[in-house]
Amino acid sequence: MSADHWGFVVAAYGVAILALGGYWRRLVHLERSLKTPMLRATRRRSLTR
Amino acid sequence: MMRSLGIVAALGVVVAGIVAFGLAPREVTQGNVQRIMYVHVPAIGVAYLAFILVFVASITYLWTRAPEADHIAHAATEVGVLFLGVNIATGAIWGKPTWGTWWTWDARLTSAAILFVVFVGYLLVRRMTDDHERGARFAAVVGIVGALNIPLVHFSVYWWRALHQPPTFLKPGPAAASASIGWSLLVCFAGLALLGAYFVTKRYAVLRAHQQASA
Repeated sequence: MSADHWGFVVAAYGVAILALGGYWRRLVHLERSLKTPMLRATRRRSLTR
Repeated sequence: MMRSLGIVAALGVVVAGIVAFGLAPREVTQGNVQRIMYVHVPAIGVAYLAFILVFVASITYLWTRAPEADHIAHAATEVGVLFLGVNIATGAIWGKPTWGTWWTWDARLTSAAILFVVFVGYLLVRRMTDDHERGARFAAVVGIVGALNIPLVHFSVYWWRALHQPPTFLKPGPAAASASIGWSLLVCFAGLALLGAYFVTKRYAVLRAHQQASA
């Protein structure tokens, strides 16, 4: 029977949560910046590219 | 609507986590490290779906020049790159204790890495020109060519001698996993697919809102 390598399991799920959670946060931030006129101009380039 | 999809996606991810760690059995040969497969395998499935969407939207854009089609392709590419990145990273983390190496130039790993680079190229091509319409046109061509690589990635384990095991699903013959592992993978795929759908929809909405604001 193999060792369980829980450290690798935690690392893999940690990477996945960081990546997917980070992207979700980015989308929320982009949406908010669209609603904030002061940020709109500075965010314009990053939104379309 | 968007908020509801977000809640459903979050619930889907929670259910996937419960299945991956609570309901799926401990794999006999690999032990609990096999639980990495419940994010690794669904992630490539969602990436495939996203890139198929890029393919369809890019053809539609080249045909009609509708900005909505370009926005869909752009949003789906970002999400596909995200999920493919998760697939490659979790695969490397699984590979170290199982194969004894983080990475090897195996046919499946190499073709997946090429797919990743091509779609990162898609996002870079958009930035290479100030003419938005021209950038979208170039990106659409890259998206179509990139998506044509999907069969190469998926069937590479059959076409070349590979260390990577054959696919569990979308393969000739019966599924390669036991019923309990197969169902667990399908539930996790459904959870991550909902999340991917939410990401694409939200990113599309942001791109569209920005276009309307700047028009």
